[in-house]
Amino acid sequence: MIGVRHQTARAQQQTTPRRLFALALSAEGRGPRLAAATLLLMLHAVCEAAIPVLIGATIDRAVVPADVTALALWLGLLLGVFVVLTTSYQAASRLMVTIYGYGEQALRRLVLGRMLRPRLSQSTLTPGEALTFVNSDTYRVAGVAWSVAQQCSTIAAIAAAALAMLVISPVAMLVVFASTVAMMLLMRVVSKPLERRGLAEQRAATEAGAVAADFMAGFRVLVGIGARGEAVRRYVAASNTSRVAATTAGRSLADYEAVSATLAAVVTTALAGLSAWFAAEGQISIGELVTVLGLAQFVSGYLAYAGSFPSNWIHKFASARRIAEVVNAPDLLDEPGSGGPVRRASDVVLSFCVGSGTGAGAGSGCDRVDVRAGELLGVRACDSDAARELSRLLGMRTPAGRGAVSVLVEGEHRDQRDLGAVDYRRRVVSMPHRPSIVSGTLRDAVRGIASDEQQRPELVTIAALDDTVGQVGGWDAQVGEAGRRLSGGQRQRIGLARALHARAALDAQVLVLDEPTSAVDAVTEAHIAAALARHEGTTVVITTSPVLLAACDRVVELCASTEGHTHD
Amino acid sequence: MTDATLPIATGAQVRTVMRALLTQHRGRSAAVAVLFLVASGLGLVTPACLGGIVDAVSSSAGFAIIAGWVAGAGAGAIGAAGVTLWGMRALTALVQDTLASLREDVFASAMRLPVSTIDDGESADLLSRVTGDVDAVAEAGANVAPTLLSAGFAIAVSLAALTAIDPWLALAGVACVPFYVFGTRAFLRRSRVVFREVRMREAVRSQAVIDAVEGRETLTALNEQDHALARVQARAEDSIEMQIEGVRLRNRLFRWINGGEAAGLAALLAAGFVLHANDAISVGMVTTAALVFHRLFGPIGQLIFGLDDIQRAAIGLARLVGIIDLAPAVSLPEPVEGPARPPFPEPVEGQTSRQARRTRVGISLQDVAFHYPTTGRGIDDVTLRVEPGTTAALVGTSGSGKSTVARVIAGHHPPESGTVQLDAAEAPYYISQELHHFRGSIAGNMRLVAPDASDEQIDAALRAVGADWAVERDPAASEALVDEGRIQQLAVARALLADPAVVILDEATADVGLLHRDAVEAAIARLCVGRTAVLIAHRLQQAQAADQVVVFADGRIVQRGTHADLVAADGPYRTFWLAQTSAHRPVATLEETETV
Repeated sequence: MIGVRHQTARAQQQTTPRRLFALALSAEGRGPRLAAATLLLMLHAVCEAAIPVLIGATIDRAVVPADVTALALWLGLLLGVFVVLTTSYQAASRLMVTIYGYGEQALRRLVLGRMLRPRLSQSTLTPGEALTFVNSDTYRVAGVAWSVAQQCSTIAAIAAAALAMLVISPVAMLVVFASTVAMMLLMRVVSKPLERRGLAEQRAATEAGAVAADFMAGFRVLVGIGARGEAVRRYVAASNTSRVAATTAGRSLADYEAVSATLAAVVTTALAGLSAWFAAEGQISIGELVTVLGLAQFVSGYLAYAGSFPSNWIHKFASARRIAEVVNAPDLLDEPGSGGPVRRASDVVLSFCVGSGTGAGAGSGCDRVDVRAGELLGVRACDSDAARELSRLLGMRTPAGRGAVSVLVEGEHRDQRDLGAVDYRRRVVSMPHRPSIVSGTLRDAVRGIASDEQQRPELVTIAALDDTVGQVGGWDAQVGEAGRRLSGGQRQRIGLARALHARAALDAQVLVLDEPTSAVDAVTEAHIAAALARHEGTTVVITTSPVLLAACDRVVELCASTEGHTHD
Repeated sequence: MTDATLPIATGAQVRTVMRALLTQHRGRSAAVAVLFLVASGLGLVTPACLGGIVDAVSSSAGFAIIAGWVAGAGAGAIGAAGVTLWGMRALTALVQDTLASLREDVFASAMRLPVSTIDDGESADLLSRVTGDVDAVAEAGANVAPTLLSAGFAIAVSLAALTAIDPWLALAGVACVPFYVFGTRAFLRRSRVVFREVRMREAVRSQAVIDAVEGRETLTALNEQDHALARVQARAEDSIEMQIEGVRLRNRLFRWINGGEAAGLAALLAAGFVLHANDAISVGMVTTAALVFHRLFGPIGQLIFGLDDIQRAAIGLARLVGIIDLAPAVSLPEPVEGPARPPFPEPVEGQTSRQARRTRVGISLQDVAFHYPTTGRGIDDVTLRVEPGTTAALVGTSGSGKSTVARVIAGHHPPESGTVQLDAAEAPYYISQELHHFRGSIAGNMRLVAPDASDEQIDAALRAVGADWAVERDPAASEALVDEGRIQQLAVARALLADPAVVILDEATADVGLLHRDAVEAAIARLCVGRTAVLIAHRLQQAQAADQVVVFADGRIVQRGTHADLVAADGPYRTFWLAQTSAHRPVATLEETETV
């Protein structure tokens, strides 16, 4: 049963660039809206093409014969076309902004959701990389809506101009179509090297900004170590690199535009020569000649734009492939298994292995630690890496071997591998050593964004936060982006308060803390230790702090193979 | 983005700075202007030749004449493209050179600001200026300047051409101007507010994304992934709502622009009709006039929409010049260029020739008071003498004022009353609680204080703090390994490399993992030897070895003496000590059992 469900879930998770484009363009009812917007933009483009035709017609039918009635008629028509032109464009923009905005958000939600999946992902991205995926790539893929609409309208404009020419001469129409295709192919060939250089340089051009942001973020450190002069020197060097790169990128763009303008000029000249010849032969009228000349001038701008279509799609596909890779990355944790209950003593709520055998291949040779209900258990950490690893193991944030961790579930002990990640983490809350703090108010940071409840005074007191509330400026004071306005000690105590609130909100059986007092002073640490010891509930503290360990009911060694030592 | 807490320059100040920047390149600016003028002129050759074709065909001129006009149209367009390219290349270089000078001025000025000017709100404002505003100005400079220049010239040259054909035609074309003026004014009145709000909501949404991405582990641990996603969703919807408002505003402007185009074109055709009927001009001239005017639709639109960017860039520019103008008004606590210490410090290991000079610098504080303007908390009546070459340990609970004293000695805050004196003009080297690992390699981080240090000197400093992991020069690997404990390790190593006469250390081992703590504490001990040192002691073991211990409470000194004196006396230090030693006792026994 579970296996079958597993298979279908897998199959659904696999995504392709095509599906991502479909999500951006047509999911949640965006399809018909995009179709409407595209049609409106095409209508707008056709109206744009009609303007030179109407100029020609006005000159031909009104100016040449000096016919006032015809002038009124054609100018009236011209104004009418302008009304349609402006109305259609405005309606299309209004539609496009929501199609694009919600399409981008749908992609963002997909990528972010997969990055935050409970069973975690095997692909390990740095925050910087992850942000690129969530921001730049979704932006580019969602921009496909604009590509579709604008490219359709460009094609419509060219087609309309070509059809208008058909009335005058089939050859002129063929020239327009042939030159459009030629433009696309030629521009692709010509633009490739220019574009590659332009893109590389554009990235280099942002270097100065990144260096400035970095030095400004570390401003006080620079002042302290007397390195401001060196920072300025490095910034000037980075700024110079950026200057050279931006100049090269700007010149590449100018080159590209010059090439496309020249090609368009050749097409315009060919059309002008052709129509002049027809007119001289008497095949078309003066007015028709004016129309073709106007259209030739009009079409050249669109032809230049049409030349950029292929590369536009190549970039979008590259982004879509990157997104698909993140979405399709396999889970880090396996599906829950179906093992039976494990035998443990009746007062044990959580049991785990320490020593070498905790990983995926955990065997029988581990030192078992049983956490009993209601105790404050100290785990003496030997080094920080081992402490972080145990915190991840107990928080089910890393794959565990069978037998490595078991927890009490409705009266029976179950292996961690047989529980869903969300279910397990509801029973055992294991706060990371350096919890991230949500941008927002102090209250949000302490009770979490998930809750509407007020902070609990008794938990705030355990975390020794009462002082901080005053220092920061009350519960509604902003803590800055990711708590950057706070000191390290304040952030750590907020993290502790957050963990205590999470345990209370989830009614979790065990709370695991990893080095929760490394950044607070000795007196505050003593206060926290005593308060934790008095606090009801089962808590595991992984720490090197003698003060915290002294407050524990029992202490076990994380690295030494000997079972712990009991005080009191 | 943030409330401006730093000054913003006036229009006159901005003009002065910009004029100074542009006069550096007077010749190039003139050359660019000429090239754009020529390109705009050549741009008119094509419609003029098209008009010529019409006249030549209608007067049944020979094949050669018609071919000449056709060739002229082609040559004009290609020539315009060529000269435009030349002008664009020159302009790009000019704009980028000017922007680089500007941003370098801004950054150097920002670096000269005193630390006390830059706290919380100010630092966010300053950061957004040296990054966001610099980008906005650069974007406007790189994208809008060429557009505006070419559009402006195209419009001017076209008007001149229409006037040359017949002044009445130019006058008819001007019928569009009231539409443009009215629409643009209405647009600019609202655009600043609306687009600022658009950018702000986007920033808030981005922050929710950053919180979710950077807080992955915590969100996972607390099962809060869905809430983070919901937060992003809600903020994205807010942002889209505002973007719709922005589109509405743009749409209203479009109505006016299109109205102007329609009015101008109709007026021009009507004028052409009348002039042609009176035989004042030929059909070809009417054609040329209509085509010239139709060609302007693009440039006029660009010009009007460019105004919004120009407005934004002008605001950004005023904020940047505000920093430039602020900087010279304040004196530096230490010289930015050419520090007092030699650029090439001697090796970390071994006896140093500067030792004699180093140990001469003592620190004196006399009745010093300082309070933070925002909270009113601070220090009072602090009198302290640190003799040359000795170590003073400052002790107290958080908020007792010990870190504030460190900042005042470091020169970050000028005292409100009393005096802070160093025996020689030596900037103290201050390692604060604030941790920052600068972008780039570990060696690059180390060389901030000693740009000419050799790899061997850097390695020696790194090994001295037990940072052997950083010595293996695998940039990718060591980059990933830098957590806060290791940043602290590097900070101590960097201090060793800098080899300062006076060092102030604030809680420098708080986060170093146990594996490295001994090495770092040994390195700190070594750093203090032969130097004047102020140590903000987090763990009392650090205070034990100090020459004097100073205990703070509520911003005042409440006790001072050696460790032995203070432990013997009844007072806060003894309380501290007992808090740690009572915890120590059972662990000591634990260690004993292990060794047995």
